[in-house]
Amino acid sequence: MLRVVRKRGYDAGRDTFDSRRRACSKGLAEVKTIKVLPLAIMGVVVGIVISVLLVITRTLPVQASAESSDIDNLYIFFLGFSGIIFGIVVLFLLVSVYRFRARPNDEREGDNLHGITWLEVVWTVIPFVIVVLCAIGGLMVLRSGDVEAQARTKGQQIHVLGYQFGWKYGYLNQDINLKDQQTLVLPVNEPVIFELESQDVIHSFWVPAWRMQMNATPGQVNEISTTPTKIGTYDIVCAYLCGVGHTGMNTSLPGSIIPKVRVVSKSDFDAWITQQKAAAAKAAESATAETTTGSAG
Amino acid sequence: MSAATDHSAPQIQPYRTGLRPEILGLIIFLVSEAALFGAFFMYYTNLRVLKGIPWPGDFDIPADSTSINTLILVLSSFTCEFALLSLDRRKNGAVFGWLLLTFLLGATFLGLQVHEYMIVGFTPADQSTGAIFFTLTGLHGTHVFIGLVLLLLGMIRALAGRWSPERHSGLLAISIYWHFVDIVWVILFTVVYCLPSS
Amino acid sequence: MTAVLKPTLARCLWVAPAFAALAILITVAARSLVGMTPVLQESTLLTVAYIAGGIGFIVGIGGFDYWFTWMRGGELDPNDHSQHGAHSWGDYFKFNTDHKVIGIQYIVFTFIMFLVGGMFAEIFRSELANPGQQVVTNQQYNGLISQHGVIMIFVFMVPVFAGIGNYVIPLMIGAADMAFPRLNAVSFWLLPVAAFTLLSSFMFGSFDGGWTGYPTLSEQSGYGMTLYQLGVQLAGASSIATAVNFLVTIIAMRAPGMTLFRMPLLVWANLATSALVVAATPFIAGAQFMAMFDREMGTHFFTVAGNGDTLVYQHIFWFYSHPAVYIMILPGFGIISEVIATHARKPVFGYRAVAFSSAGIAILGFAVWAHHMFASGMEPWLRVPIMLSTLLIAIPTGIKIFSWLGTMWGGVLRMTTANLFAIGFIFTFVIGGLSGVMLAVVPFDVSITNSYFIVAHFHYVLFGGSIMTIYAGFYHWFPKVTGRMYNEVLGRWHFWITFVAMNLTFFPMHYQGLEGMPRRVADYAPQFAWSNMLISIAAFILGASTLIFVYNMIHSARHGKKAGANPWGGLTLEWMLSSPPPIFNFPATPRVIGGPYRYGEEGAKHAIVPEVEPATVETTV
Repeated sequence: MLRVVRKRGYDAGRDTFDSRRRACSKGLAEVKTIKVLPLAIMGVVVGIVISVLLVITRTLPVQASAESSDIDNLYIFFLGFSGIIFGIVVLFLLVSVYRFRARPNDEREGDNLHGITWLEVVWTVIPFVIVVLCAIGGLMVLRSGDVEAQARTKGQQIHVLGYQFGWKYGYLNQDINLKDQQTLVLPVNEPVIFELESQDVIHSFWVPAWRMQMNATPGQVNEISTTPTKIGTYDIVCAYLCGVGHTGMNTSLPGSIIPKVRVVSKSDFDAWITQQKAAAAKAAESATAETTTGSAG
Repeated sequence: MSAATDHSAPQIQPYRTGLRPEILGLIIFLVSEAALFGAFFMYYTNLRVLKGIPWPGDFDIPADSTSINTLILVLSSFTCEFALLSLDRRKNGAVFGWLLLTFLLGATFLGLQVHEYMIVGFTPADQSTGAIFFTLTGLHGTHVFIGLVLLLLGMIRALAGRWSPERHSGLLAISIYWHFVDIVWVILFTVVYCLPSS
Repeated sequence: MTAVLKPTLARCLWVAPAFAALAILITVAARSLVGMTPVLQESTLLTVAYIAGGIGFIVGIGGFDYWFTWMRGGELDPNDHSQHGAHSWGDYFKFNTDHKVIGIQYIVFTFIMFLVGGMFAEIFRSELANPGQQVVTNQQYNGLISQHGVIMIFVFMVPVFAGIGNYVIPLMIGAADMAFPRLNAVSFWLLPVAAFTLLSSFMFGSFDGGWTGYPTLSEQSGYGMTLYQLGVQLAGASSIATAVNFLVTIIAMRAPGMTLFRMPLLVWANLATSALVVAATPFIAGAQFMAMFDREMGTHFFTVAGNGDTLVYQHIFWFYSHPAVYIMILPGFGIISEVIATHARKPVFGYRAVAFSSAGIAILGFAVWAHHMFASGMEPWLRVPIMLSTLLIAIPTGIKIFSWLGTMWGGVLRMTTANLFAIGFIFTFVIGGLSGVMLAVVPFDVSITNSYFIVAHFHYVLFGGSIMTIYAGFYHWFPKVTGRMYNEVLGRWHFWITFVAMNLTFFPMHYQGLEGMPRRVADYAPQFAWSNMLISIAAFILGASTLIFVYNMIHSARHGKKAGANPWGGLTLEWMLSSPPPIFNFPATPRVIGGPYRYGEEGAKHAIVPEVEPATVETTV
């Protein structure tokens, strides 16, 4: 039986300490009238709806590399369990607030429950299983194929020099060095390894379409590889704060002078390489000619 | 009890640990100092042990001569302990004497370190190895200097007869600090002077 | 007029500059005497001046007066409590050794810094509202975002919890004050010095390396960068001193009967946090020290020309900065435990698990730093172990969330503003935590690191996490501190506007990052225009909602309805004292006879204080 007492409690306006509370044996009964398991299942259902919504509204760049779809699938898996966990948490929050809300001048106490061991074990083990699945998923994507070795033997090796504020490329296996702000062209479906360097501060070579990012750190060479699988032009974004021009070091900005990366067919690529080599040879010739003329004159 | 006029001291709380709060506080503070050295050791290990960057020029770190410095400092830890022991046996004159000996040994150590700085042949601005050498040993040297100041204060208070076996936490604190400085040096000496780099 | 000679802020006005001038003089004189060029680099002199001026400020405010007296052998009276306790509002501007005064000093000062940092955010959000450049230059923009981060982290988030802990913890454990009251006051007064150092860098073009200040950009920047490096070290020193204080207080000064497992969870949280601070903060001090030396003393720690290693800065920096984020959330977790238990009239579900999880997070927190460096070019073999440890740290955090849900379930929920913030916290923190689990996985992280996805993640855990707990704590202990009740209606408005605006501000950022918008940029591709406009509007609303809170606090502190000693019916020791508590807290040493959350248990008491009526639970069935 609950005795309604005179106004006391959390709107007390007294100076003296006065905080006697009424414990309620009804509390325990109330806990048992709401079956927790059906609620948990409803939480999972709500969570699945949330996951589906998240997956449907996902906005991702085009999948332009071999790894893109793997990473995107990993992301969908993440959205899946995140939605479910969030759904369970939010449902229990809302139901608690609705069902166990204190009425005005409510003097009852809650249930003197300090814990339920089996439940605590369950909610330790299930998250552990989820993170193990995340780890497995991550490891699977990390190890998918030995792109680096393939790139060195039958792909492209590109030297990328980051500077304030642009990128300069060199084809290590073709012995071609591009000029500042010249477009990087790559053949489709061939593995590429990038060797990143910086001549001043830390930059980051990020191509969202390839789901690939790696810093260019002064004083060391950082390597990252990928296999572009789609013909097109893709944005290169410098993702590390590199000074005043960091904002502008982003090919997606309108009016950007930094060229995007171009992925073309193998034949187009070969043609382009021939073109570059010819231009380089010509430049070398005229330079030697000048020197000879100069020394002779 | 009117808050506005109450200046009376509160009831003394019973403390839970065997250690006095000041000593516990000092030990925790020394953990943070160890972490500070840790940051520099982290840099040093990365540079010399993992990456194998050599000392500037053809510098050969004088592990042999500096081992004498190590010996002196270790000895000074013993003399510091003897000061504490003398206090327990109420031999106040001996307290001053042992503290003085500790101070002199510490000062000698510092002097030898300064001498070493002058003959290494490079400056802190000479490459990363120069920077970490001087910073790491310099940080330690600063701690030694502070220790010397503390020892001086301890000697002054010993002369003034302020220490007693019941009131010795100040001396205990000084000696714990001095032992810390010594331990850090032993680690520093081993890692920087003795460990061959890859 | 005598104010300029007594230890007051007025005295600092001439002592601090005097120290600075003296330091410059000594440096120049020493250099000339030894035969070197007297003034080789002005910035070095300026740095020396700042350091000396900072020490001078502490001297001026009276921080070292007692120690100077001790050192010169003067007469010391251990019963001299003239610097203890708030007898007038002026005491809050002086060097005062009462933990309650210091707590309020911390809370008010750091909250002002929160408003300053927030204002920087509003300025750069106004730049981001539209594509193109309208409001600030790129250099100014970089300065603003860097200041925003540093101010928020070092002079708001880390110290505000120190402030709340300072006020509440000695009361909760039945102590008369902290273990080292004078050190406590010095810790506080170091904060204005740190804030001044950081904010005055605007005079020198601010610092532009983000709150992380990586070399080699840090070596290129203007003088403001040195002030950032110095300011961080000062704030770190303050933090370490406070942590030493908390540790000794909690270990040594608990009332008899308060075993570790009868401690309120806020005390557990501060215990774990303080251990983290002591062991981790010196690492950022070391990193900034080395970076500062590179700038001012010509060393080559991180330069390429001098065979330095740029990457190792990141390792040393993040070795602190990852534990730092736990430093910024663990006390908040403790506050939530207190708030939910008290306002739901239920014991904390799984007390031991929650206590151990705090310790677990603190320990594991040292093993995950490199997850901030997956795309940095560090040794590849490190990535997988760090991925695993980072994933593992989600477990103790999850345990806490579920425990709080279990605490609420079956309780009697008083929907006070404090409780609203606690519930809102669970909602938003879970979102932040889940995005964190995603980021632990290396291939996913590398695809969107340094993008707005990261900005979304950390704002969810810092705003949706820490700040919600801070508000919950403010509302929960406001009656105890001021003796008056805050206005519930205003509190609810504050909560709902903050909650909705916060989600509208930061949720879209996840999408922006996934689509390829990098962070720390003043402009973006046209596809991000509408979302940035939405975010900026929501950010302005979020900023405005803070004003409701400020008004509520100030107005209620003066005109609110008088609260009794225990308006919430809490069982922990602070609720057994008057509001506000007497200067020396307890009339006699309390005796703890049970756990702190014995709600629902008839006749239960947590502690007994002689001469004070105990908080208890009675049944009438």
